[in-house]
Amino acid sequence: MKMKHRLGLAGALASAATLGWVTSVFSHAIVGDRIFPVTLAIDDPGVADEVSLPTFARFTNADGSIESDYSFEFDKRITEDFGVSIADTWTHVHPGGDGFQNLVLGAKYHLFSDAPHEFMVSVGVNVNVGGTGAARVGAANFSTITPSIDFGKGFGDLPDNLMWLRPIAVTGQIGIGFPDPWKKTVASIDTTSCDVTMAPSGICGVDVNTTHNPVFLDWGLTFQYSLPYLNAHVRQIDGPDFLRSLTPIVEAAFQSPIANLAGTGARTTGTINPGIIYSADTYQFTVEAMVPINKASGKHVGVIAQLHFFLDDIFPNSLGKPLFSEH
Amino acid sequence: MKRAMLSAATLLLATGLSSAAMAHAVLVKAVPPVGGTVSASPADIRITFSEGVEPRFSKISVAAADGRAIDTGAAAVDPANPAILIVPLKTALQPGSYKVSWHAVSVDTHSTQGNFSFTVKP
Repeated sequence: MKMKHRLGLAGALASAATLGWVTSVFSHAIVGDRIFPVTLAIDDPGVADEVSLPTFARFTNADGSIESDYSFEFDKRITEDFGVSIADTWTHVHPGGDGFQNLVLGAKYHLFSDAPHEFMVSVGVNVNVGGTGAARVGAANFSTITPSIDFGKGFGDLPDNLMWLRPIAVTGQIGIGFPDPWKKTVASIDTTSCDVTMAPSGICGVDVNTTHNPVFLDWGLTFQYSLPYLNAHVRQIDGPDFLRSLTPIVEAAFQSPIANLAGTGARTTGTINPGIIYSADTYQFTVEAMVPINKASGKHVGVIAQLHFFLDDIFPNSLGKPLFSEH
Repeated sequence: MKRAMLSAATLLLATGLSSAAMAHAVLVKAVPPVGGTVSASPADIRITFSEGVEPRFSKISVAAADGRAIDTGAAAVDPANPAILIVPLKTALQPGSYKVSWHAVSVDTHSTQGNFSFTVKP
């Protein structure tokens, strides 16, 4: 009897569909003078009524297949500080096929804000519901639960001699993705090597496949320079109006295996995404390049773009307000 | 799937654009200009927001570099443009640096705030 280890679908996600992970889409947030825009690679600390429709990403996986993702996310506040979300992605992989990724359900609670220092923190949890997507596009057949903490810090509190740095903001997210505890390790027996004609005694070789689904650390940062903030708080921007709506941004999102590796060969993967955000009154448009950090993260530079709507601005008295509100 | 998403996005975009007057009020420009220098004391402070604001719940305050508050009149919106909030200065400003702090409540009750500095030339 020989034992064969392989990476399993969590590992497959880390290699074949790692970049798809970064197509999750998130909410915006306001604290003090700071408006944190919606970011694409990681969550932000805000809880809001929003919809991302669509988020489009196209990139080359580590195995050379070309993947296109069309995602949506709907975020709904239950109270001023607590909200839930639902998201999914339709994936086309060439060669491979197409189908939906697993449904992702989320909940987030705004924990703390410090307006003078433009700082806020939220905690949340996302559940990737195993088996709700198509295996041919890499959707796992097991669920993953990812508790996370999200923060945002604007630098509007810098002294006057550093006023040109005040438009800078940093947001971050760190979470741990726990695979379904009943499927952390899955064993299956492969008897296809048993050929009775070759083994007349009835003894034959049997492969035992042990699938390890590692625990991943999901972490990332964004670095933003807000021209709307520059215009409103530091120095008026002359020129075309659209300049006052732009925020250059660099996002970075990574997945690092931290437990239950057992020789899976899983390694840190992720992308660094430089891009630009255009913020309008009721919507936001973002486009970013996706630069894989290593060969396991994909080949070539991909692209991701998102159209995002602020429902609290579009429907302030109905869909855009919390279900339970003091106002 | 793709077509459905784009149709929904188009609908939302159309809805959003048609209701652009209902959003957070963001400073677009100010007189005196944000971070700018003026040659003489302005008669008032004028801030143009991205949305119409409610003058009863919005305010502008001015402070000198030493933190001393500058007397102002009541905030009001420009009758011709509810996105412009105006607060008159009761006294002429001496040369120096001043800080303007504002709080705006847009017509759909969203609240925003901010501050900026300007300088009156000697």
